[in-house]
Amino acid sequence: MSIVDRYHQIIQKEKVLLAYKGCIDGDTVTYLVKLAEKNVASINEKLAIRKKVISILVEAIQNIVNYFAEESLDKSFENESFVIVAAQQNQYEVLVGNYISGHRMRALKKRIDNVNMMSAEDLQKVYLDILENPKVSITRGAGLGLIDMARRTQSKINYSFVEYDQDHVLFMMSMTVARVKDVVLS
Amino acid sequence: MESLIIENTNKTPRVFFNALSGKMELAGRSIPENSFQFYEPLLQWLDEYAKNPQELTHFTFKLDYFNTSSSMYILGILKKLEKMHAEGKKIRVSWYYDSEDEDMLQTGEDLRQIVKIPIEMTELES
Repeated sequence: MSIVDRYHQIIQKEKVLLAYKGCIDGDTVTYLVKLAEKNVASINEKLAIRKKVISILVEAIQNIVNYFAEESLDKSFENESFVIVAAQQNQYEVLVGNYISGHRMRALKKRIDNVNMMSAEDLQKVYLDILENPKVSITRGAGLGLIDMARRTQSKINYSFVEYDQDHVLFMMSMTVARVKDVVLS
Repeated sequence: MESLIIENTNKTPRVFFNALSGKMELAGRSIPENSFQFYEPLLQWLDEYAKNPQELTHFTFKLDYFNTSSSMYILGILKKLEKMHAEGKKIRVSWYYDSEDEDMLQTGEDLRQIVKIPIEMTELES
């Protein structure tokens, strides 16, 4: 199933713990995290799993904040960012999307493909390597974010690029966390 | 030397660095967008403290969760403590984790692999 179809499926059929569409900045992150924590806390679920979901959410939406801090697109594109946290029968899913410049697509795809090819042991090793020798700007995530999310999901990062025009591509990314306890789907 | 006390916010942990007792604590969540802005003054304070530290420096981490950019600064703090330790100062580090939170335990163990100072893992009952 394409990630676009997944979006429609989640909205229609699953227990949505958080759904937001609009500009995501530092303030929005505060509110979204607060709301997600409140809703995630209401689930009968192991604390570690709930924290995993929140950690992935924080990393994913701060990626968006950082992206727009570095590269400004027309405000109308920035306002199309979105995030969904949903509970399903066997797992939780964090799905995020934002427009990026078309020329960024290739490099981003390569980075995610690289991360997806790594075993849990590789991810752990690379995580520690980068943590010790951050190559990139110290104020930002130093590329550690993707690796950290991949470590926490223990599954592959699902992603999709939807080309809007020559210069703008909608980038969508989805990560899951296996559930431990039963979730009551309303 | 003045102690450094900063109340927690939605995105930053409570900072309680006591220069007189040598007890320091970082507690809560750490998810600032700009980790540099938050952590740089802490690192500078530690540099100043390291010039004339107490007999025993006890650093406690009681973190709920933190983002990856914070994790680099948490390592930065541990590196400063490691340096003091290498200079012959007595350092104790306590890493608290919730009994159900194996990710936080794992992070503590990861950091323990990187820095050459004893880090005690302490379980909090959830």
